[in-house]
Amino acid sequence: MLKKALSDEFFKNITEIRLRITRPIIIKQQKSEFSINNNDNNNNALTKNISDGYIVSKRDLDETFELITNYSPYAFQNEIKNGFITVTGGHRVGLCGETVIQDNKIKTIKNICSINFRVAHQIKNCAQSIIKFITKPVVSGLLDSDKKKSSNILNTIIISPPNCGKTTILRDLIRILSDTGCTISVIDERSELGGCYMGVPQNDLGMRVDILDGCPKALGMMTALRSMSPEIIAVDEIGSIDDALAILNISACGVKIICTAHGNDLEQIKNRDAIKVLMSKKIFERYIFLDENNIGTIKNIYDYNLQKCC
Amino acid sequence: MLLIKLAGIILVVISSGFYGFYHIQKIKFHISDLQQISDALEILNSEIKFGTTPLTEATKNICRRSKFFVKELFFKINKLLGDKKICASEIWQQSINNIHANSNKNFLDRDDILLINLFASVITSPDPDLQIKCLNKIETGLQKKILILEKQYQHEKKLYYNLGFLFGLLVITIFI
Repeated sequence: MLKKALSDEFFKNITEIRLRITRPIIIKQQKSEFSINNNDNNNNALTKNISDGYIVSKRDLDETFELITNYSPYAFQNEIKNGFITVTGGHRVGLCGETVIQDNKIKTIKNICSINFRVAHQIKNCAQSIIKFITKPVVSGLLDSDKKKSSNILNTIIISPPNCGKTTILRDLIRILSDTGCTISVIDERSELGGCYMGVPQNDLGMRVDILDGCPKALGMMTALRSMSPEIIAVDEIGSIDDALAILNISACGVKIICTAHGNDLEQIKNRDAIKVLMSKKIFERYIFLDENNIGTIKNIYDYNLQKCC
Repeated sequence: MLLIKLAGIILVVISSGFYGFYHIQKIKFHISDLQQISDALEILNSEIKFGTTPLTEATKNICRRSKFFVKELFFKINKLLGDKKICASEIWQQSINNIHANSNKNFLDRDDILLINLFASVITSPDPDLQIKCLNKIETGLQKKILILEKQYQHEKKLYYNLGFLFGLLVITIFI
């Protein structure tokens, strides 16, 4: 039905498709929402009036869930526990329903009542403008350098509120650095960077990347350090003390770190325990803040002394 | 004339004896079919429990390791899963019911089909424990049935062998 209703151009701009039980299907683009017209005479055309949209039934949700999991939800147990599944193409499917709790933890989700398809959009070269800020100024160009490529890289943290492009920029940074010669281990706890489906990365992260998919960040960083001998470790959305301790460990071993964290400004992140620890030890040499009003653009860059450098 | 009569007597005795033999062998074939399907479900159970292998892969593996009607059954399930046209529980039910329809290829009865069809209700359950328990229940049910049939086989083996032969003699006696 969706295929009939959507042109290729329209599909490219979709950010989310939401299915909620007994509610109209909603297709979201950057700034607008649509639904599939429920009126058969309109040949499933799109409508901006959501209340006229196709009402999602339990059977629709059950069948969608079966197709997402390839008829095998048991094969996606860990993902379901975390509330999402990554499908071919690196798209993330968020799930809501009745949770089954065991030992105070979510065992599984049954009777699925909401499914949210988050369409993955890899924006290549969106981090090109950041490269010059995270490399040492003495080096004119990474490719020309005879030195070990990663030694020119500065420990970097990208900070912004949600939906400002942190992950997209980090993904592109990984791709650029990896293609310029750095061996990078990516700890992809929520499959957002590589978008691995059945172990195959769906996003292009470059030629020298090893992905530890679905692994807790702190554990993953230490495992990658021991097993993959990385020059750089990349990790998305750090926040816990365990993450901070792992970063302290890996930076002490001479491995560079590039990561992201939620936050609005310098004052706010200073109050986060994990980042406070790392700031006090001057682990990060670059703090890149993204503009919350303009997705993917840099607002401020600070050095390890928290002095503004851009 | 005597020669024809003699040939007739031999034919009647052999065919009635063979009928008795076939009747008892049907139980043996039934046991063998139940064992085959039980083995296949055990593989499926292991694939879910230890390998968390997706159903499409698991059915392909079972198909590779099975014979006769079980191979055909899992080949069909695998094909329907790949087509993605109907839901998994319908695929399972449809395929299992189809075995019963093709009863010339196997000896499973209605009760066996009902028992195996129990899996249809949990086939896409997000809780693997439920699927494993259901498969264990089906396997136990099949094994119980095998035990009953084996007892029946031992009990009725001599009876039907002799009964077939004696029935042939009875027919001959009446007609002579």
